[in-house]
Amino acid sequence: MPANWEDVHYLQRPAKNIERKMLVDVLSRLERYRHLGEFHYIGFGSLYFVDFVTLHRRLGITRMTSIEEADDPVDAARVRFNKPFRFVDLRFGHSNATLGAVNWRRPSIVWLDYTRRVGDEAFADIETVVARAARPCVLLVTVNADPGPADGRLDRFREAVGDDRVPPGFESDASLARWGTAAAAHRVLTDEIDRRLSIANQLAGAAQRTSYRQIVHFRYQDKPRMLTTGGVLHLSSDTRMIEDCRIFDSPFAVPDGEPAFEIRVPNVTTREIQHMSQRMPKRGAPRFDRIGIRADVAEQFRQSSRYFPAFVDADLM
Amino acid sequence: MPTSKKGTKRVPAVPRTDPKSLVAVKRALPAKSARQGAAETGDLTAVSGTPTKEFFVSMLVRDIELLPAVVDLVDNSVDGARRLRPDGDYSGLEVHIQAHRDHFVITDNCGGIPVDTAVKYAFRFGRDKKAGSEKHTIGQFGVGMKRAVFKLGRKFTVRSSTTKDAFILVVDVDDWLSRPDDWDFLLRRTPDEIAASAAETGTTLRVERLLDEVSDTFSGKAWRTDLAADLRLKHSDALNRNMRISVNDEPVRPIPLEIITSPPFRPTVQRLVRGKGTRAVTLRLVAGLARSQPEFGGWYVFCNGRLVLGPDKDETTVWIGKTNRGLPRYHDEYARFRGYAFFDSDDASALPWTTTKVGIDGDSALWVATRERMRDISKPVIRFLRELDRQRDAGDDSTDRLLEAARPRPIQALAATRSEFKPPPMKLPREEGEVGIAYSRPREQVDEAKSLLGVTTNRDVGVKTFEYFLDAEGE
Repeated sequence: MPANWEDVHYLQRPAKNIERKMLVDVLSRLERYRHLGEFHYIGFGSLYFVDFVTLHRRLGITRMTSIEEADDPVDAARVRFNKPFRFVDLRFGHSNATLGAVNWRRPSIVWLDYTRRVGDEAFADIETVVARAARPCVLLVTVNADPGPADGRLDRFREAVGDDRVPPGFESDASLARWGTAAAAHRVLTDEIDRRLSIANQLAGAAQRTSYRQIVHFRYQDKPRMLTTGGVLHLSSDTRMIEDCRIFDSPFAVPDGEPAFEIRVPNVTTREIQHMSQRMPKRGAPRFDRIGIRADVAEQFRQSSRYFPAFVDADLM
Repeated sequence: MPTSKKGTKRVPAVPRTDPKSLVAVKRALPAKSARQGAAETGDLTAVSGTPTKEFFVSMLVRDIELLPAVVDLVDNSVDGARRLRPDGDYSGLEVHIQAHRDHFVITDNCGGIPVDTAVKYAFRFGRDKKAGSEKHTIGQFGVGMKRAVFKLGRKFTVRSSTTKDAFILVVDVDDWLSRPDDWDFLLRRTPDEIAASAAETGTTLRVERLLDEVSDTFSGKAWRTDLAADLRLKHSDALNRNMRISVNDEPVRPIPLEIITSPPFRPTVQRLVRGKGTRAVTLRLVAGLARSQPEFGGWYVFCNGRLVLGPDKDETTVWIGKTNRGLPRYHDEYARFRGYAFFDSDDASALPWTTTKVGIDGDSALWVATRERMRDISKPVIRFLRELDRQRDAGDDSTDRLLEAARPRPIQALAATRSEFKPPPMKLPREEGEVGIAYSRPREQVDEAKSLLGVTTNRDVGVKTFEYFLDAEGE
């Protein structure tokens, strides 16, 4: 298995880049509930560790674990070389095998940032996180949700998740077209978290019962269509405190039942960015037809402008 | 014994204002055992043999999980559909399930429950032998609905309308439990609600004061997917006959029960009758091919239209095990295999299923004999699929193309006439003196080799690289 950094350089994934920053915006609202600097971040740092750098800088997290599938010693050496901070603990091996051994005693933010599709790999990791992670735990999952060719789409999806996990409403090739696969994957992931949570709650005492509250649901498309969803696993008795955080005041936070936030990255030039940034209206639809920017492109830019990758991204060390 | 929700108010059972309209649904359990005055010698102490209601209820619900109990309720609707539409077309018949944190409702338009049936079977504990049996049902044991309501909650209301009569039955389970010797439920006839036509008939069951664990489950999300998955499998036959079932407004779609019927891939179809009179069982066996779907390959066993087993891929049916010598272990190369066994009988107790209807009664003589036959008719299909695999490995996809062109049809549309699986003979490759070599390499490497060699099949990669090696290294 070649390491996934072979696929595409992270700088060529502007939507992913924007997603990361929007995610931080949502996460930072939990500061009111718990000091995020105390959290343990567990992710798949790959070679670039962009999420690690972002979360350390923006949220002050200093306890971090990166799980890296690379089994080749040369690849592993390269990962070690690229580790951005001394405090990042590297664990080599597939997440299904290594996640269980992570120290789960503190509140954590876990980002299961797969490049593959939803399936047994994700189910096994979700089971580990829900069963072991101390609460609160922010669980984020990203999967490839590209529908692929129309013929046999349902069969492929069914094979990946198992027939008994195929949600009602997604039982045809057409229902999985465009963002259909992402919608189905979202439901499958949410169901799986619910199933695991209900088992954990049966084992837990009344005071230890936990709930899951979705906080993000992104769709984006750098090349294949991708889906990220996630939420907070928290003690049910903390519900009020979570509500007090007003997470959903963030324009990027999406509660369960609401449509996904679709990150669309307009292709604009540096000159256009500067022009639009200077003149962006406080409210109302931005209009830049004078310089040939269509209304939908202007609107896309308005939504993502704060998070738009700069020419040289500031996340570089 | 599950506990009821704390702090809920007890609602009295049916108000007893109009005694004439009330019908007692009596238990068929033995009365108190004779036990008094037995002391002839020494000190005998009477031990009551009467089960307490709590014990009875806990025994009733212990062997079934929540979602299968809900599926049992759908059985009642499907039984109704069967009575209503003997031709087997259930278009226009619907079952809707709604469940939330504090209540559960299932409603259908499948004929309703006649008062007589309600009194004699549906709400009676155990079955009165004298009462005879209902014809051709899934709900053979007379426990399904009671078991389900006790599993769900502590108050239930049943409203039912047929074209002849109608009733309402309200039971406060806590109240009922608190009266140890009175097992009756009181049913009230509701003549105003008698249905004017078959289309207006139906039954609604509402359960309230849900048990804590039930309420927790219904507060979550995954149960909807889990129940839909269970229903589309267990009731695939009814769904494929156009019955509509929904779970919290989401329609349940059947899994495809398909078989290729066009020559030269006609399936083996056998029809047999076992036993006599009311206990006669009609058996239909089908073995053949369908689309290549590893999830759906295997044997399906139905009793009176309800799937009790399958798609089975192990020794319970025909695949390798101590008793199945001669057949291989199930493998993805058999993803096109489909076997269907339909057992039907007017007397549901003659069918080889377990009381919870989630499995086969392996001791049933009928099942043991049938399984032999299933094994026999599976063999030619499995042999064909193995040869197909060999042909494919050799780079010959001519039979595969024939199969792709043959469209599978729903099993419900299959004619009842007997037939036998006789696939076209296959040209199997490999000349005298040749041996095969099989190995696997990472896809990227093979793809790279393909483009370097200018070939398109994996087989050619193998042959060409072998030739290349011998050219370079051979004598």
